Amino acid sequence: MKKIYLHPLPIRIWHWINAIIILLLIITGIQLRFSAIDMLEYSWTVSFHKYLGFALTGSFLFWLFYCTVSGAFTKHYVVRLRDIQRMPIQALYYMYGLFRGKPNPFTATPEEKFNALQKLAYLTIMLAATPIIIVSGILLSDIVVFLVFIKALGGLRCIDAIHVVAGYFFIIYLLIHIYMATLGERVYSYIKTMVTGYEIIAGEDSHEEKGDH
Amino acid sequence: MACSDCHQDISAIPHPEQLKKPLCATCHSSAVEVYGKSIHGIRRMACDACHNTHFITRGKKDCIECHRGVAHASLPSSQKHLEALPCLTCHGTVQKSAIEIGISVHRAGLITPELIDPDRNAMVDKLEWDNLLFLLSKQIPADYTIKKEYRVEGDVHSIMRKPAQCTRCHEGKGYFSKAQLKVSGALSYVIPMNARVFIPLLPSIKDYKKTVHGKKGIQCSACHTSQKQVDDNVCIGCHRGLYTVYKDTPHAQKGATRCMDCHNPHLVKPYRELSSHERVAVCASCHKNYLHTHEWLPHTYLHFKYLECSTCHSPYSEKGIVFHMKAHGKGGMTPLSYKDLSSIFEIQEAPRRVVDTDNNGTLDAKELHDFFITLKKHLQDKVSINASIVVTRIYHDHAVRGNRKRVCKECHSSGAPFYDSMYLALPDRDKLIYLPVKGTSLSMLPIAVFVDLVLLGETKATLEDVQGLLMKRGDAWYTHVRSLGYKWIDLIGIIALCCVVAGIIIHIGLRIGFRR
Repeated sequence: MKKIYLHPLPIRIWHWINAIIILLLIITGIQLRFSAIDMLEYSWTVSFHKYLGFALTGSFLFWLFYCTVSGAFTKHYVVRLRDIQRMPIQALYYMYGLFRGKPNPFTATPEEKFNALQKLAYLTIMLAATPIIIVSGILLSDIVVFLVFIKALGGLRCIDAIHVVAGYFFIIYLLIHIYMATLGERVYSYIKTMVTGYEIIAGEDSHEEKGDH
Repeated sequence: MACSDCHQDISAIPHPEQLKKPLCATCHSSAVEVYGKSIHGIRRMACDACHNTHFITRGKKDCIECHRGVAHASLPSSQKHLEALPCLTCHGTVQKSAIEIGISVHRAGLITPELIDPDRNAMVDKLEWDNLLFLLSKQIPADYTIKKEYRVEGDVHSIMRKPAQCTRCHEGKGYFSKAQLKVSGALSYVIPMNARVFIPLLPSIKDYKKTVHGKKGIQCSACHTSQKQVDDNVCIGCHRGLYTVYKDTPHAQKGATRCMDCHNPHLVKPYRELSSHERVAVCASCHKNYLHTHEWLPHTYLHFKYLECSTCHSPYSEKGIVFHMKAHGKGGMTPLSYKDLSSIFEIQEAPRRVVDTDNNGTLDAKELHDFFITLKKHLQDKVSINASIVVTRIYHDHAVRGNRKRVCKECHSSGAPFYDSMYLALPDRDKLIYLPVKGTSLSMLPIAVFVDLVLLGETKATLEDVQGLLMKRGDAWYTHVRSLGYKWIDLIGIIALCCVVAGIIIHIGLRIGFRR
């Protein structure tokens, strides 16, 4: 058994806070979109969704700052040429190798936490979908103040459409993300890793390895 | 000035004890000429009745020193008028007049021009003024000052025999037709204001013919049967149906007990042509703190800019969407006129035919689309197409008892009632005609046509849309697919979600099957 320290405390705290924010944003967003779903009072949901959006902005800025300053961004998130080559191998493992009991072609190390597909997914969600949903959400948060920008970007319907498309992207991402989190040694292994910070890799000598971030 | 400049009969010192009375007109001929025609001049009051001739800068009398305690009984809102206006405004000849509002706020960034004038048309209107007062009282209740001043410049020598008529100020191009808001403190700037925020217009006989009553040929004597004030019985004579609903409402029992507490029968525009802004003003005349009481409402300013109070507070009223067009002319944006329309389209019969090309009495999405595209093509940026949610048939109970629910969902859903009642307001020679629009036109019209349109639920997919996709066949299916427009976002999103969920279920099944 090998114990690797993958996720430092600030990132683990950020991850779970961010998860709660996104979950609440999705729930309130669904009610705003489909008002037949009657969970909370509508006006309250509008305000709650808006303030959650501001919280997401803060959370995103913290992640960006932390990953940039600690160097985690270039180390773990940037998709390199070798990652593109590894993507089909990783995809094939999830679609076929996993069922045949073949070993995961990627093993997380403190130097490289994410496999090629994870990198692509996290990079897309954090550097494309999140900024898009944040900027469009800020514009929608005060239509009067941001009217000039809204018009310059194609009008309210266009901004609304972008926000909703990004919202659907988040829901789809979240479903896949949660499901993929169950593909560890045990169903809860990866979730436990995100709580403790340590990933346990079976079949090797028992020792502890620490990463910097 | 030397003594002998006025006392011109002094030829040597010492001069005789009795000198002739000097003539002010020698130097002040124009003032004396004006004064001679004034009520004071006619009554032969001498210049020194007001001016201290030996100490001209001292001892000048104000009007009030002689006219103290004049009742002004015939002046409506006399206290307000007397406190705000100098005597010269009504009793003299005014050369220049303006309203100057001074706001002093020392907290930087609190009242920026964008905050005061959210629609950025360089003119502060009634809603913007109410909104500003609301924001100031909410955010810094004790840290701002507002000073309102009615400035007049004129000749005090021209006091008239009779005071001026009310129309001098309360008519279109009368006095105080200009106002400006001066902001000082952390930021200093000046922004024009609509003077009618402070001085409302009065009806005139000239305008009466343009009113909804005037157009229907109702004579003055039909309502004004005596010198007495017109009462509700006169209104009931024609509007019995409305009054039957209204008489039992909380409004009728306390507050707006008379029809004319809310309605001005001399209004130039008929009710259906009033903008939501003008309709809000009717309620706001009593419910002055409406922005405070709607603080809970997200986007409060926007709601009041585009919606009238009855949209929520009269649940039994019929609501609809009215598309209207404005053209950019010399005087800013004005409603598109028949002349504008006829310069683009060849109008042979009724103007309706330029839009309703299949002549079936209603407009569908394609007809509307083609019409707007042609308009945009000819007028380019000079035309703006807008839509308003308005009450098309009013139910006169605006305070349904026990209904204090926040009814956001009524509008913020694709099932909102106004989607079933849409009209295009088209200019005819002397009036607007309203053409019914059918179908889910809004979601399919491209942004290029409707860039200014902001509605609520037209882009949200419904079960009916899904059913239409599954059940319809042939041409009906194609028409349905085309009419979905922005609703495709939801439909594709939900299909993608279903695919992902199905993929996950299959994956789980395989894992269980292979014991992984």
